Amino acid sequence: MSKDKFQKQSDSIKDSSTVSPEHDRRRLLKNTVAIPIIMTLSSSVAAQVARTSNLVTPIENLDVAAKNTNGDLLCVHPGPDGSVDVVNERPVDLGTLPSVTVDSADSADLQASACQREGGILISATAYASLSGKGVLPDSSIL
Amino acid sequence: MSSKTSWRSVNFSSLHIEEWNGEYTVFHPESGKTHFLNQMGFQILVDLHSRPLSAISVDEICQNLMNQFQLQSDTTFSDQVSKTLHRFDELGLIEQVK
Repeated sequence: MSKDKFQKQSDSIKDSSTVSPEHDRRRLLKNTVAIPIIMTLSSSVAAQVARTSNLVTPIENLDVAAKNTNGDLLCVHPGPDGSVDVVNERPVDLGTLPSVTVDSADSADLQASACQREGGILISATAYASLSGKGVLPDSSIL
Repeated sequence: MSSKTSWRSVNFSSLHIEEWNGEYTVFHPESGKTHFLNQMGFQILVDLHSRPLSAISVDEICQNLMNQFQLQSDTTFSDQVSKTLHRFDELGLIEQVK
């Protein structure tokens, strides 16, 4: 085997080990001609994707939940065009105009309960930062 | 699975089909589902649609595919096609004719 050929094979192996699952699925669909392939996107997923891209997954772990600079939990409420049923629908579509409330209760547990009672959700600090960076949610430092 | 079962297309004209460089997205309005098919998967739907007045057997579908994709005869292939046809049936894209 020539050096060039060996190098090409090594590169090919290296490339195949670093591809994402999405890339793998795409490659399977595109390159597997010898058998028929069908993959289905369920309607519920399609509907979620079709609404807005402001999809978040509610969390229950208060340690990683988004908080303001005082350490109070940020309770996120979907906008009018977002999800209504935040209990059964995961992930939640926040819509285009979500809002944020901060409860003044002393403990995080009480703040989380108040949030749930009011129909809001807790999201991770990372998700919050991503959405505030897009201008969808207000900066946590001003709340 | 019986190779004697025949199949026919169901309302092919209602499907919203887009080709993406040899791959196909097929939106089925009745179920609200979108399916991703490779070329062979889509070819099965086209073959069934091309004969709207008569059902096509699995053997005939396999033969058409082997001719179009230049494949060798293989029982595994026939099983794969048969499974795909039953999957299409479950999704409401085609139906069995007995």
